Formats: sequence, C-alpha cells, structure tokens
Amino acid sequence: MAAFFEARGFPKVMIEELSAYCFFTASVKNKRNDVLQLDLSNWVFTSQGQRLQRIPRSQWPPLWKEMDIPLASQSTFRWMLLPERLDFYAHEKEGGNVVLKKTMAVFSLRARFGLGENTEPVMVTVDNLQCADAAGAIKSP
Amino acid sequence: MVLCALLTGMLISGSTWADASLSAPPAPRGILSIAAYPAPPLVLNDIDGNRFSLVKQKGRWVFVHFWASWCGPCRREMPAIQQMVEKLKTLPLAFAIVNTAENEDAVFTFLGLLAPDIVPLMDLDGMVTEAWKPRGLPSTYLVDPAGVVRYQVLGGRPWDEDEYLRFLTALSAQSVQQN
Repeated sequence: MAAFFEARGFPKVMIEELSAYCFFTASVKNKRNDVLQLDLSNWVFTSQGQRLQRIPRSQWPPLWKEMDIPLASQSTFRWMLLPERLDFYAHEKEGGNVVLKKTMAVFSLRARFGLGENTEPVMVTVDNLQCADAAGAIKSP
Repeated sequence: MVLCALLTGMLISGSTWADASLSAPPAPRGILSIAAYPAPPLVLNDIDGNRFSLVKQKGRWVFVHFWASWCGPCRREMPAIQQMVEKLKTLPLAFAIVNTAENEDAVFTFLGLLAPDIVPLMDLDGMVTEAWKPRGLPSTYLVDPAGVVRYQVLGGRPWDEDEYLRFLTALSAQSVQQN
C-alpha cells in the first residue's frame, strides 16, 4: 500500500501515519436481482476471540486536517475506501479498502449483508486473513 | 404570426425539457433512471486551461463522468468512452469527463496510453467530485437539457457498443439548441 500511496503523491507524513494500519481490500458484487445492503458496522473482524478495531471513514478527515494534508490526497484516500454504507443495486459491483489497526495475528471476518426487513441477511465468513508485515511479506498462518 | 410561432416553439421546447424522462428510450443495462434532482455545480478547467461550466450546457444532454487513473475499472472503460465520444461528436451532446484529484502529469500519462483524444476536466482538489457524491469510481451521470440529473450509471459500461450508442443518440435528439 505504501507504494500505491507514494505513486499517488501522498505526503510522507501521511504515508507514515498509514503504515500503522492494515488495509483489507474487498470487492463486493451483488449477484441478486434485488438490493443488497452493505453496512461496515456489521462487519466483524476477530482474532482469537477478540474483536479487532476497524477504523471508520469518519475518523480520517479530522486527522488529515490536523496534519494539513492536501485536499487532493485526502480525496484520493477517501475514494479508495469501501463505502461505510451502500445499498447495492442488482448486479452492482463496488470495491475498496477497509482499514484495521495493524495486527500480526491471523484473523477472521464475519460480514453481514442486509436484504431488507423481514428477510434473513446474508452472512459471509472469511478465515485465515493476515496483515502484511512491515517488509510487505505475507507469512503463512 | 412569426411571434406566435416563436412562442409556440419555446413552449414546446420547455415541454421537451420538463418531460425528458417521459419520452426517454429504454436504458441499457447498468443505466438507472433515478428520482431527478438538480445537478450539483460543475465548473472546472480542462487540462488545456479552458473553462467548462455545466450551467452553460443547458439545452443539451450532458454525459458527466468521474474517474481516476489508479482505478482499475476506469482504465478498462476509458477506451470505450473515447470511442463513444468520437462516434457521437456531431450530436448535440456535451461531455464532462472529470478526473478526480490527480495532477496533469498523471492524467496526461494515463490518457496518452488509453484515450489520447479525451480532453479531461481537472478536479484537482476533488471537491467537485465530492459535491456529486458518486457511489464509487468510475461514476457516470446523465444530465438533461434543463440541468437535471436523470440517470445514474453503475460502474463502468461498454459505451462504444451499439446499445449504448443508440441510447445516447436518442437522448441527444431531445436536445434543444440555445439561441
């Protein structure tokens, strides 16, 4: 991710700040013929029974303002994030990053997608996830 | 008699703008007819420094597109947009192809490889894009001759395919030349 940020011209201080986080890139495609509701507050990342801290989109603007980050860099960073909430139209696809506090532990994701009132949600579980270490190498669980 | 004809023409034109969605052709896959709303502001310089104002496009449909060079679907879609613009260039249809928050070097390098004939609008700080609140990048909107957003497009589309060209051509037939 640091290479991506650098290529986008992000300031060094911004890249250093972001190195403390883990970026989970997700692509979501609604293969249904009706609406699929995404709400990242319904995504739970856990490791050994402990919930991992997800950094919501709203946390970044005050930090970037305090750090005097250029608006262009703030905008690009914002657009590379997965939306906090989105009602996917039928067959719509969107992708982006979900940001976690960095951990070296193996973790799992349990993601809930709503289908509207009185309808059972869709649950997706992904196990054996791991953040890249500082060298960018992925270690086996 | 001439004055009556002019007034009648103006009334018909107003009716065309107001009822643009009612007489619209069926939309291809991924183009959604939405609850209409006034288009947010869009005033930007293009990469050559020429000013573009959405308000000044009233009288014709406008294809408003937001993209960035780092976005994979944007890379795949841009050649189709160039083909579409080339094929429809004689029609009364305006194009606002807005780059979000990148500098001229990044835009020039990207378009030079994929769509060298596109003249992008430069949203250097990303604030115009922010006002339009796209669902993601790429995002496309179709704005009617009265400056009202009528369609939202999901993701990238094969704009150079016949179905999409026919649709845009049919919309452009609703455009009214301003005096």
